[in-house]
Amino acid sequence: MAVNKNSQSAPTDQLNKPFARLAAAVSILLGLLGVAGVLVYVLTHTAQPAGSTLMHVAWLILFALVVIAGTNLLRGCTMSHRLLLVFWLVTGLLAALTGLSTLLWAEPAWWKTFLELPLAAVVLPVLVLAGVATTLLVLASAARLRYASMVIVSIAAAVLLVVVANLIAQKDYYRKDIETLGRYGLSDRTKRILQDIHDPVQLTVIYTSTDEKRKGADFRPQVLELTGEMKQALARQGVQMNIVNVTTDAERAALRERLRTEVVGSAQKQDKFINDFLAQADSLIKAIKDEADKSPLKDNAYLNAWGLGPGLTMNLEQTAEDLQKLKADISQQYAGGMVPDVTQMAKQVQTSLAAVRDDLNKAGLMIKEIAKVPAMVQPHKDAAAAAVKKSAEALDQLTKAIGKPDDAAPKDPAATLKEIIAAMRKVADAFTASAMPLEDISKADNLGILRANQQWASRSLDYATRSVVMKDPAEMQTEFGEQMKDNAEGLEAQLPKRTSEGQLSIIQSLRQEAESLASVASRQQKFLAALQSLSSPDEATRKIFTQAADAKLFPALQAPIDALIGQTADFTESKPSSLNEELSRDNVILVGIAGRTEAVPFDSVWPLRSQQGPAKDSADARVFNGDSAIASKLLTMTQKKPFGTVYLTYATMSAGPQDRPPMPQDGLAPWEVIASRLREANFEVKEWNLNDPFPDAEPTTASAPASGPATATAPAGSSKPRILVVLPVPPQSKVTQNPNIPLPPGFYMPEHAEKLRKEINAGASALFLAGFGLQEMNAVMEYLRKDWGVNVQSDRLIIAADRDEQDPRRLNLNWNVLSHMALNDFSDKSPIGKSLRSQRVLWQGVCPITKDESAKPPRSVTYEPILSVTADTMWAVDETHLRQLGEQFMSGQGNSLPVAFEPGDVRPPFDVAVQASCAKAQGIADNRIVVLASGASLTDRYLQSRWTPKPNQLADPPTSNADFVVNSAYWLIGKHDYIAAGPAQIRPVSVSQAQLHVIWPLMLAGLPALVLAAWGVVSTLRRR
Amino acid sequence: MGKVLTLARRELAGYFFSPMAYIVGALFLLVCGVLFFWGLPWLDIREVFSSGSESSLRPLFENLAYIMVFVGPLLTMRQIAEEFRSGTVETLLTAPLTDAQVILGKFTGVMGFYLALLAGTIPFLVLVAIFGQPDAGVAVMGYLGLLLLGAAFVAVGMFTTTITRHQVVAAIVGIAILAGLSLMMQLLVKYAPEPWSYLASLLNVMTYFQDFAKGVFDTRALVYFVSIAGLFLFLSIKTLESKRWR
Repeated sequence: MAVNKNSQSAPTDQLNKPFARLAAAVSILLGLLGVAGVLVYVLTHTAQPAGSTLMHVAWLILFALVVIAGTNLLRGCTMSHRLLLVFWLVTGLLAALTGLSTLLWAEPAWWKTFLELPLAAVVLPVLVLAGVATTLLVLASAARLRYASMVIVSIAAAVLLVVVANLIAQKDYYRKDIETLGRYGLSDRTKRILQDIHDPVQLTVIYTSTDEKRKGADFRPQVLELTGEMKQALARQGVQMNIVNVTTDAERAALRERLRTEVVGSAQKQDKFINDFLAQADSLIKAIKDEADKSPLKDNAYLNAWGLGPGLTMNLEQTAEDLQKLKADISQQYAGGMVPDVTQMAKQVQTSLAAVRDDLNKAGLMIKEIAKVPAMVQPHKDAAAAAVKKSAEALDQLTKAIGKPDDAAPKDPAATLKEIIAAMRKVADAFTASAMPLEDISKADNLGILRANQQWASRSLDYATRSVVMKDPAEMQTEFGEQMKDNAEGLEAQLPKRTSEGQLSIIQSLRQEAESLASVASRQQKFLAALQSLSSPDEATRKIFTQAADAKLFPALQAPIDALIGQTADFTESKPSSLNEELSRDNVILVGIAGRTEAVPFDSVWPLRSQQGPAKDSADARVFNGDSAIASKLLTMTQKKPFGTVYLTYATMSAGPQDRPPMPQDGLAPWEVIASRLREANFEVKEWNLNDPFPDAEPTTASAPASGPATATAPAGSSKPRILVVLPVPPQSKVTQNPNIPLPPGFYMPEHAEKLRKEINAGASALFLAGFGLQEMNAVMEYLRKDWGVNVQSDRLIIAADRDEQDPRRLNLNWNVLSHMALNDFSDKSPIGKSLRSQRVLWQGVCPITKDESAKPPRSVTYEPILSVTADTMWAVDETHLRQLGEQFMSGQGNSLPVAFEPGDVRPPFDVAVQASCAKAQGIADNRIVVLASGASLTDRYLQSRWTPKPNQLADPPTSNADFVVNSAYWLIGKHDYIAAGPAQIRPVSVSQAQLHVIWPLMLAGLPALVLAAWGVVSTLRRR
Repeated sequence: MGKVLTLARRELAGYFFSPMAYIVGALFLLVCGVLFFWGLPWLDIREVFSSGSESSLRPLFENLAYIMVFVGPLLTMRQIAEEFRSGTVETLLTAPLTDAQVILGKFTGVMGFYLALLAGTIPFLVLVAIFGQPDAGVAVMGYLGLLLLGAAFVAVGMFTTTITRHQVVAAIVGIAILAGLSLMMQLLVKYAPEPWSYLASLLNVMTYFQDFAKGVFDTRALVYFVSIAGLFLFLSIKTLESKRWR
């Protein structure tokens, strides 16, 4: 046996020889197998990615080292023993972890690019072999070395155990939000919504913003935690949720590719249409260009006279260019990194092709119409030409009779003038006669084509040609005839009055003017030429006329375009995709379910924190609202049928429909935010003008519901619960929303209240939006008092005052906050109110509600406050007191007014929002109502406008007012488990500076001093 | 178990009979007070207690977790290293105690002292309760989180004190390990590219602690802290054990 003299190696007596040899042999064998395996892999996988050679070399070196270490172990080297032990332990650990992670999640994506074999087929043998080698190596140790080996193995086992325990914990975990506000767990509403999901859900979290104020890395973890909980909740009901966390550019590109496939898949017909267009575009463009190039017309061709030849060519060239651009644009959208909006692209192609077809059709139609011109001219051509010739001859005679300026003066001027007068009369007769046949030509066309294309014709045709087929020549001939006639008569009248010199002077002036007759004569020649050309088109033009008549002007173009456009008839309705726009924004979550993908924007998941939050927070501080935002999106994407119908109910001023101002389509514009929130909450929203019958009239007999309020609200025969939201004022349209032209206020008349009673008794539930100063609702309030015992005191306004810091007995009224009162003393007992505690709700025009004990409702009513006022710094003032306060404010006594109770005021406690339910009675269904005494706080303007709590300070609008309506709607139909609100906020610390100055020294110095004092006590006791 | 508790009692008494525990306690409360009333503005750490701030001890808990990176090893640094240095380890190893009992006893003793330190923060909670409305869930889970985090950190400290006879070295190594698991991982989470950022978030102590600070109970965090504590205690036992046969 060789003795190892190497100082780094321990004596061989530390090794158990038989096991050491066996372990060495196994290691050498496995090392050689590894080397062989790498070589075979390299030889059989010739196409390898860059950098793989380096990896193969590293593997070869590693296996070679194992062989060398095995060989040294055969020689008794203990260092080799340790190295091999560590190697096989690490190998075993890695194999175990890879196998486990595959079992828990899935096979790693890179594995398939590495080997075609299943991962388990490699991991299991490696695990077994590593185990065997490790066991042999441990057995090969003797005494202390075996002890060390065992320690190494046990540490490895402990590490493995820790990793495995954590891997399993990551896979299956339990998470419970102990915090009272439940900001980090799933709300009951979300759990309820998830229960209704049966299709696999794909959630893609793209929080990649690098903007410091919305950095993806900062906002992402909480989103991932929440979505992880959703995944777990869905897994428990057997629904798969796949969460993709997109962080890198490569992942973003992969996401776009996935979305592209989804979008294309959802609009396959549109996709085929676009692909067919792209496939045919080149041939189509070529055909158009060919048509433009092949123009068989000579310069003097008939159609060219109309400008159609070059015009058509130009038009075709432009069309080819447009199609080329369209093709490039569509190709770019398909090939680029964008998610193609296939529906929009298909519409774009369809519109462009239709425009091309229309252009071609128009050109054909025009040619077809022009083809009628020769036929129109021909029957009248000879007569017109003869008449024009006669006119020309008469004109010639007149010219001769007048003579030229250089001619000698006539000896008998009177006779010459008489001759001229006679010639003029002949000209007048000839021209007037020529007007008739020329007009016949115009009449034949009835001025249709030519007048319709007057502008184009005037640009393309010369004046004479255009004149022939327009009305002008007839008019001009008649006009000239009339002029000659007048001239003749004028001369005839002058003749006896003039002396011989005077007559000579007239003749001389006529000779001077006679030159203008030459242009008239020339025009006659042009008329003749035009008549000739208009009646006889050339051969090439005639051929085109024939093609146009047979609608075969562009056969090579029309057929493929018609075929392509024909495909669009089969298009199914598909919503345009806004995914590109959403993806271009920072930090979005994509929710994919049942083939649809929609985005949840960052501002919904992380809205800005309300101003009531910590004062030290910056204006950009955000609060997590992911639970509500993602669940709402899932709700709208999965619920196929609305939970119920909400009728926004109002009454316009006049009862008679004939007198009522017409309601525009967008008549409920001031309530659009509420309507939109209700739609998002899966309600159908309609409107009901109480002057009209109920829109979805149902039998008015009371139902006998099986159980529960959800069914109780639906009358017999109705499948959906109905909720009446009784608005405080009549709606104003966007069209008439001019402050200078106010709409007349509406009134709820007793007959309106009666209609409400009838519907509610029939099973509808209702939310009444009352408030201070809404006397027009008196009839409704009377109904509430009589039938429900709810007394809304709309003649009183609730005000809130602050205690004076100097004199706590004195109260100051802050006029600014009257329009935004932060009342949120919601009752824990009401599901509507409970979820709104700590939420940002603000109210205006609030009046008190009390229970009217004297009222005797026809059935038993349960009255429950939702929101109450208990603070002694708040009370309700009547109009007289309010007027006094207003006068004080107006007189410039400042924004903060000293205020005190007056005899007419109502002191708390009282309510501002209540819910009431009643039991079924004879002829009346059991149902529920909610009354809010601050209806004006739910208009769009109030919900969307920032306000000024203090000078130079702007505050955000209320974020949770709309939740009150949505929660009420859910409560009214009995779907309590859908009730949710916006982000919750912890109540802030309230400590004055004076208190703080006392507390901090006490705590900061007192506590450590107390500890040190304790040491003093202990040491003293010990000394004794 | 009795032997473990006896040893733990002895260790705890050792703390309270020496002035060091009181000095550490007073300093700890002073630091807490500074964080509570003023924060550390230059490190962007906001004060916990001021008018308008959230009535919760969560920010204090989160800052304490970072402070524990340093306090944990400092509390444990003398436990075994000092025994080696002074030679009393021989007595300890020859006593009728197993290595595991020695480690667990000392660990329990340190945890007792750590609990006493945490108890010192209760006046702050009382103050917040007087001037605000703190969430009981957040407070309970925050203290539970600090307890688990402390257990893990003290276990790391126990391990480092077994590997050297020098207290300072033990403390430095312990702080380095804990800083690696917290501060370094935080930086990797923030600045490393994926998937390293994700992997770092899985290893980051603070990721798990923040759940507790928020008032969320998560079994992942529980398993993480317990397994880290268990692993390092096991390593401590094995290291101490190796002293016998090396």
